[in-house]
Amino acid sequence: FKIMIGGGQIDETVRKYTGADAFGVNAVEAVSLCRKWMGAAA
Amino acid sequence: MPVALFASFWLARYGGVSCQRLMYDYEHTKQLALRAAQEFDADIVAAGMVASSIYGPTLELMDFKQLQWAGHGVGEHQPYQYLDREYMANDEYDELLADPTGFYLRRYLPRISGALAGLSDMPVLPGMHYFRLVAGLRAFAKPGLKEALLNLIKVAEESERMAGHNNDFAQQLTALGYPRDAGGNTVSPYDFVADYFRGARGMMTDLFRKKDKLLQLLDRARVWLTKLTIANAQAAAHPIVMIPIHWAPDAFMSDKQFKEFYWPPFRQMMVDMIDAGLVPMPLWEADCSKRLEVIRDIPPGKCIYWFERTDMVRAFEVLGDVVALRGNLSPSLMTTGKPEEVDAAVRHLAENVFHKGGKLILDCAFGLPDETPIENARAMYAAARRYGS
Repeated sequence: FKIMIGGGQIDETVRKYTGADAFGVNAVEAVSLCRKWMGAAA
Repeated sequence: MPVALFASFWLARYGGVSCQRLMYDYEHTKQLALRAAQEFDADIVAAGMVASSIYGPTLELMDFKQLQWAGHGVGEHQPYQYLDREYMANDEYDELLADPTGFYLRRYLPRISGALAGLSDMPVLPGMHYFRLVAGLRAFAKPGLKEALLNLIKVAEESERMAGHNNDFAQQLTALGYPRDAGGNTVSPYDFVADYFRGARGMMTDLFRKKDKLLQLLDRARVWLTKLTIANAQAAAHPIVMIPIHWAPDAFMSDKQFKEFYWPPFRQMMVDMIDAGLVPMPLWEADCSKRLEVIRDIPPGKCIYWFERTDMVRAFEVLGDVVALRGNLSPSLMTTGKPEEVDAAVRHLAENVFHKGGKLILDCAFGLPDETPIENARAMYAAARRYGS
């Protein structure tokens, strides 16, 4: 499984530090990420 | 390149104490702040390091509702937690506009302070006259109201004590030769209504359903805030006023909404502050990249624009000839990065902004983050010196 994190304070530094696979800064980015991952899995 | 020292609960980490102690122990917090000022030897120091921290006793006496703080709703090692609520209903615009003082006394103070809940029993004074006025004052004998008034005096006396400590700290900083970064702070009219009255959800719905009333209130709030801000700055004998900006970021409203609701009253407020000899220092929180061209429209050479997440090189490109700049080492870098990475980030700002003519005051995005390792703070100030000249 993959892990994404998000919110206005998140950036690439936080993503690397936490080991998450991806990040977004708002809800729209979360949806886009989901679509991308699901598209890749399908 | 000038560098600022600004921190809130980081001071607790620096001193090895809990956030709770920082909030309640006036003398100790002042000593910590003075120690930090001398160790890092910054060019300007935030008196807010003490002023924003030592609210514990006063908040407690008020039974303040708009925050949770160390030992009161959050753990003793945790900073403030702001509580976003509606403290004003969407059908109360007319009441607030018609009688702001009455609204504050009978509705607002009881909602934001448990100790002052009894103020809601205050009589409606306008219209009272002659014998009717004499008789009407009996309302002040109501037990709940009487208790609230006595609590109010206790709160005022603690607040006075707190002010004494803030003045003492400011004087000690001056005696050590450190200028303060600001004399006080204020907010924009939009943030005033959204953060402290209508709440996030209430405000967002009002943008569509209460547009005209909202615009009226924003303008009145502008007048109240401007007057208060100028008076406070004169009392503090310091022209710089810090203005944390909350709802302006790109993500929170459209360009159209920003130009209609946020910017005009705030711009006018800043112009009036400038005319009164003040130096507005808005801290544009989060990412305000899309606002840069709009907020460029301000008398040149009169403001310090502090940016949190907006790329500083871009801000310099758009605004470098209009405003001084402040910021903006990222919180993620300061808290999780290595000292060499902090050093590189300072160098980037020095080379690409300050040495290219940008009037940059180096600082972190919003001062030293609470969890900044001390070696990263040391690396920042050392780098400021190394790359700043």
